[in-house]
Amino acid sequence: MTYLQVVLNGILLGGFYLLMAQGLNLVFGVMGIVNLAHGAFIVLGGLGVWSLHGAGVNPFLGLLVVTVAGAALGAVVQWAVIERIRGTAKQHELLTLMATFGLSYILINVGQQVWGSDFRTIPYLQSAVTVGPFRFSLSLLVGVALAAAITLGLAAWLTRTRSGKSLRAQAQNPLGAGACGINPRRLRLVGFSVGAAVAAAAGMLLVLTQPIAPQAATSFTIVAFVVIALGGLGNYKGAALGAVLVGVVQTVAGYQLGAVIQAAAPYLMLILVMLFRPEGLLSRKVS
Amino acid sequence: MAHDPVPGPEAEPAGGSLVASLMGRGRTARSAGSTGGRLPSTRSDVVQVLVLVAVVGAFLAWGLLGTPARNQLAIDVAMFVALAYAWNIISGFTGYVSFGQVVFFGIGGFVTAELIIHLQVPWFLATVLGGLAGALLAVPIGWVMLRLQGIYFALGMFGLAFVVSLLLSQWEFTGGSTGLVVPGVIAQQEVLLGVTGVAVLAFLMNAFLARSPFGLRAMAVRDDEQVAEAMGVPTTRTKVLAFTLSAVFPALVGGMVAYNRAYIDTSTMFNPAIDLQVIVLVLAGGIGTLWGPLIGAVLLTLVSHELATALPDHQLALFGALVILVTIFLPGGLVSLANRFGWLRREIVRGPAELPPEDELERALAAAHAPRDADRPAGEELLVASGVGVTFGGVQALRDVDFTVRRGETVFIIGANGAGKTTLFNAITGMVRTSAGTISFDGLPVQGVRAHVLARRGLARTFQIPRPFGSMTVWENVYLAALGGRHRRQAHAQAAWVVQVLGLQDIRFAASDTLAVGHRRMVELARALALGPSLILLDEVMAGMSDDELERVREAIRRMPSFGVDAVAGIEHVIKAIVDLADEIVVMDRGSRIISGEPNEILRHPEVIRAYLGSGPGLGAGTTATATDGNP
Repeated sequence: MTYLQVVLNGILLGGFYLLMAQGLNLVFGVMGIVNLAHGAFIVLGGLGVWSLHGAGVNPFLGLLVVTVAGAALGAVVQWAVIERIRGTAKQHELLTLMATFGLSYILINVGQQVWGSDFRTIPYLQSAVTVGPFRFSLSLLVGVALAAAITLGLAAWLTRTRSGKSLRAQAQNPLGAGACGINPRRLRLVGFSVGAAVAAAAGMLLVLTQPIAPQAATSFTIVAFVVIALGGLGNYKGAALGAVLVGVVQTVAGYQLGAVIQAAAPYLMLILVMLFRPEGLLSRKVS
Repeated sequence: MAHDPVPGPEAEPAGGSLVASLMGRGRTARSAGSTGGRLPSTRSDVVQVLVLVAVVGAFLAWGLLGTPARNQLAIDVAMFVALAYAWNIISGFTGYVSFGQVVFFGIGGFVTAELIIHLQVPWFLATVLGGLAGALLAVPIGWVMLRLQGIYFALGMFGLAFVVSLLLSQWEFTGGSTGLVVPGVIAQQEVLLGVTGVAVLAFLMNAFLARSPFGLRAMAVRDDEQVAEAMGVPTTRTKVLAFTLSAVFPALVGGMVAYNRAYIDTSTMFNPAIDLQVIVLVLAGGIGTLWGPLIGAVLLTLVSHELATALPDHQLALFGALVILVTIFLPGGLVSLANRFGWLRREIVRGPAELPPEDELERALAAAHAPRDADRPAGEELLVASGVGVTFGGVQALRDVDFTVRRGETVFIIGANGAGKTTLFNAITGMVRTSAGTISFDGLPVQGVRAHVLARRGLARTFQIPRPFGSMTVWENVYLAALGGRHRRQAHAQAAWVVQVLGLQDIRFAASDTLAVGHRRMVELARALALGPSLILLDEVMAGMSDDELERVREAIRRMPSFGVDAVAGIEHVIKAIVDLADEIVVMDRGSRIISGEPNEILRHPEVIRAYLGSGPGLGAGTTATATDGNP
């Protein structure tokens, strides 16, 4: 019975990971950029909510605030940095990697100036919920529910609305999208902005369940990358599978093999999956 | 990042590496105007050596004669120079951007520390052994990790470094989380000499790469790995060797640093920030260049040191801002500034300044190329494909195709778009997997054999969409192919002949990514010919060529037998150009071979006229030798 409980906790954790990865996936899908500052957006979002909570603001209101702030910050970054990087597709890939890496340094540094290097969490929704034989922490359940809502909202936006469809068109064929009258510049701005907003929102949910600090940003970037790489970069359904897999493997490894293996698990999964299915778990094999 | 390992029939060229096109921008801008018969700058090596000696001398004088604090700063500078050049080997020249070379820095450090602590090995010897340990580990790690590409490799290495660091931190060998105390006297000046020595070695290794056949092979891997294989480059071996070289220097430096600091633990020795800093240094200086890493490492290490002293709280942010500024305003690094004035360009592997007269070359080469297997009769089967089937997903691209080429023959395949012609070539050269049938070349099966082995066995091909190695000159493209298994001088002669025959003399020093399409096809053909193949597969080499170029290609095809080419198989749409060349024409339609025979017979065949040329009135074979099917 405890074993099943561990697996269920892993699945819930996967819900978090999915939300953490969605923004990264979106930005990669639309612009072909792996945003190495993604984890910094997450951490700053979480710490922002922490500060608001300290000032007496309800975390859910805080969620709205940091989401909007994240969107604004993302738009500024896109306008001031990413959009200004020139070069062919190949150059662009490396240069944006470097630029977002530099950006993560800046954001982490700012975070440390504002919040210091202590790990912080919000003691909120601490009670436990009993479902049949299982017990879950309320914050985890609420977090997963919110994560699911945001993910579904994102999916609906991408498949139902005009701007969302334009975004997918841009992702699949930028030239064709341009020929159809889609303004790629504005779309990239929207894409990066939404990606950052989702990251900030993920940060809020994260800070409810575990302590975070600015210097942890890189590890969140990596976990998010592992999730989308497992599913195949840019593949939205694959990301869901990847997230659950990482969550379950991590909790089970932690339960059975200890904290070290738990921390190493995502990296080991990344290396193994990349070696055997470099195109991701769900992608059709190309030839 | 769709790294499509095997392009479909009409696919775009596979993406090369991240780094490939960051080099040679200055050159591109200039040679775009004139197609570039210009000779490359011929800076003398003497000047470069003098500059190096002066730089090292000045650095040591500055570092050794100062205060202990100055000694320490100099050690840091030399360390980053060595790390930068090491990283440049795998990531700059070979195009595999790694975020985890620090793993070798750490391994070298711990091996050295243990040798000093437990066996009392002298520090210098211990670091050498630590370097060896790094190299030994790099071979299996590289062999596995280098199957990953692009961002996957970069982050895979990052993950590996993290995992290794985490696991070692649990192990007594490394002192666990408390670390190790390395006994030793404070010997900063000795260590400075040692680290500087490693940095110089790393520089020399880069200089060697910039002009040697091995370096050329590494750059070919960077520009287009699949084509490199097809040109006879053993890509796996090349990559692993480059990876090992880029592991030795960090391991050596790691050992010296361990001794220098007298205390190490896993979190400092495997600190990912070291890697990230190295990447920034190289990028700021100029990735894949010879002098860029030096400039970047010295300048930025000093700047970063000043920042750390002046603004300790904001050092990271300022460093990050610097990175962003470089990527936006100086994407080619500081070296690209100098490049604008023609300084510090990549050393070009030079062809002959003067080509010998053509007839003389031809005589020399004909002597060297006793027609291969002269004892074997013409008419013997060289390539036999039977019952070949290929499927892409649910699409049957090839269905039960038989295709035979005999020695002394020239065979051309025609057929509409999507008929499966290129797929057949891809199957023959092992680039797509067959679902049915057998293919053998020169009596040996080709399925499951790596492309570079086939290339060296005498099977050469061109690509339908020309894929020259973009960061190389035309000469380097041809010379690289000519190298396959040959002695350098012989390769040189071979490449010179090919350049001459195809009329590429005037553009041989042009950057190949600036060429017009006709010239690109010529380079494709030149590379395949330079391999010295027994069978050459030409995939639409004549498309998009001027009449003049067309005639040159036809002439080259006619003269191939005298240089050891036993047979030619081609795909072509320019029918008038092949009627008099072909011994046999094979017609394909929708994945099947529909008919074959002598050219004149084929062009009159009613089924061919219907399936391929169209059946409109007045389109009789005799009058429509120029028909094309609209393929570009």
